[in-house]
Amino acid sequence: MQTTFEPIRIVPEESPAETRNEEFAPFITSTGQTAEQSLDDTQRVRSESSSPRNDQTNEVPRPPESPRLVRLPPRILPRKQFQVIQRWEGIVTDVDDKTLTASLEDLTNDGNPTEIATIDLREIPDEDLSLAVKGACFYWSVGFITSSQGVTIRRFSELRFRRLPAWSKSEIKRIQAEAKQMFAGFDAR
Amino acid sequence: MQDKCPADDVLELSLFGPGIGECIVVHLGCGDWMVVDSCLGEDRETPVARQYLESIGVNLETQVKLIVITHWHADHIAGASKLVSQCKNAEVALSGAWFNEAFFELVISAQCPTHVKRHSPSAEIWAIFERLRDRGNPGGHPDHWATHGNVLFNEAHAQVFALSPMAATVTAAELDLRKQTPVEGESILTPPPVHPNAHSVALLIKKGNHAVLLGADLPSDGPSERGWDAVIDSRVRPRVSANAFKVAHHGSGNGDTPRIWSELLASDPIAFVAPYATGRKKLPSADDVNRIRESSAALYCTSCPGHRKAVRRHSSVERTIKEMGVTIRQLTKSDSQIRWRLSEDGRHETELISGAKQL
Repeated sequence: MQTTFEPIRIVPEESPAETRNEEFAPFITSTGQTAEQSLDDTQRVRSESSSPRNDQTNEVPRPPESPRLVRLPPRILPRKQFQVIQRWEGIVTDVDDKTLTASLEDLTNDGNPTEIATIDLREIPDEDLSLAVKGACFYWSVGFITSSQGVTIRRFSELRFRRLPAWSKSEIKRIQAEAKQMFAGFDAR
Repeated sequence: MQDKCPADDVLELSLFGPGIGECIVVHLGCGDWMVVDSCLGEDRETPVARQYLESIGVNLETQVKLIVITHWHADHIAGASKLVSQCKNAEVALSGAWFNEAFFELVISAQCPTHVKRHSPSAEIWAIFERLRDRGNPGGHPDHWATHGNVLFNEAHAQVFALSPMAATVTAAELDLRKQTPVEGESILTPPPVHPNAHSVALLIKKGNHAVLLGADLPSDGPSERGWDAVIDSRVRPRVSANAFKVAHHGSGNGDTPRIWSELLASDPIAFVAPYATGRKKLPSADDVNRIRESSAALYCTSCPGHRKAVRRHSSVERTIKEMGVTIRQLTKSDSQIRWRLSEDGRHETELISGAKQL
């Protein structure tokens, strides 16, 4: 069974017409990727989106002026204009009618410890709200949107929940057969 | 701090709990050790039980005689499969409420490659089964499916009794678990299995004239035939009063009842609690602390939030976090430890290590 992510479609608010050009792939592909693969993509996006003056140092370019924060709309952002500087994987540990609590693993710096975040549900995209249940997995990215010349336009924050396919009949049958064997004390695999 | 093994006649209980996990290490006497639940150390790889036992010179392979996983919640199980692998001579006990096909279906379904393994208690249970299979246990079954009345360790110097889950819990468990097994057409996006705390294995350790009660997350609310009331009313439970109590469910009121203190514990018992910091409601609350303090001679807690240095981040990330109104808090150090040693003559001492404190 394959992991499926809903495409993340992002476009700056003042998107030039060329940003919808097909040469720009979605940030994360819609099928066949594991979380690790999607992280690899993040790294690739980061290196591709570095401005020329930072290619040598790999440093995050400093914005010329303090850019304002935008919550990304669900459209397509060209890969070269999307620079992730921080990414977390979160697991929801609790939800109430206003906030969710989640444990965060820092995907940008593996050495950082697990942290606990409380996030307002208004920060969750409407189409993901139904997925925000205890135990659900999400990815939270923070970074810069840059122009094609590498100039920072603004910061962005994107919080998207992981989507998975539905159980198939054959998969359930396999699970039930293995469970029967294990319950009876036989090795299922 | 005495960084050496306790004497043969000393009962030692160490509680570790950084706010996201809990682990209890017990010296049963004569060099025999037991580990109850598991959480990971500062390196997020090594079980704290292993770190501690090796630091005091215990041979994991030969001296750890029993490993008990009280229940399936992530905060009680991290690294347990590594312990099972390393403690080759230890018998393993899992909750008897899991001995049904629905439980195995849940565990197997969680092996689906789409699941996030590093957070999954199901993956940890599966790994335990694999380690037990390696040992030759048929089907990877544990040595004990613990239920009320089972004796899990029985030597002249100490005995360990399972006080729960109760028969009524075991009977209802398959139906409880069946509600969470995969359904055709429904999304695989499911939370990690949420099991009733009534599935927990509460334990009583008896050593000579002394005893310790380990409350796991056993509830006092819900059906009376499944929780603490049923344990207390049981005719087969050992009739001893415990001198010390690892408070149930991180000190929560729904894991407590006055009957525990009056009928299972001696007067003025020592109480230990590991906090739970990952939920919306932190445990124990101020009310919980007051309630437990009123009933005990002393209450010790493994850690308190804010102990750890804050993580450094890019200033733009910090600004974004602030603008979104997100609060991010640190967990405490996982080597935070309460160590309690009880001699045969009743003398006891408590050591608070790396952030543990008396409340």
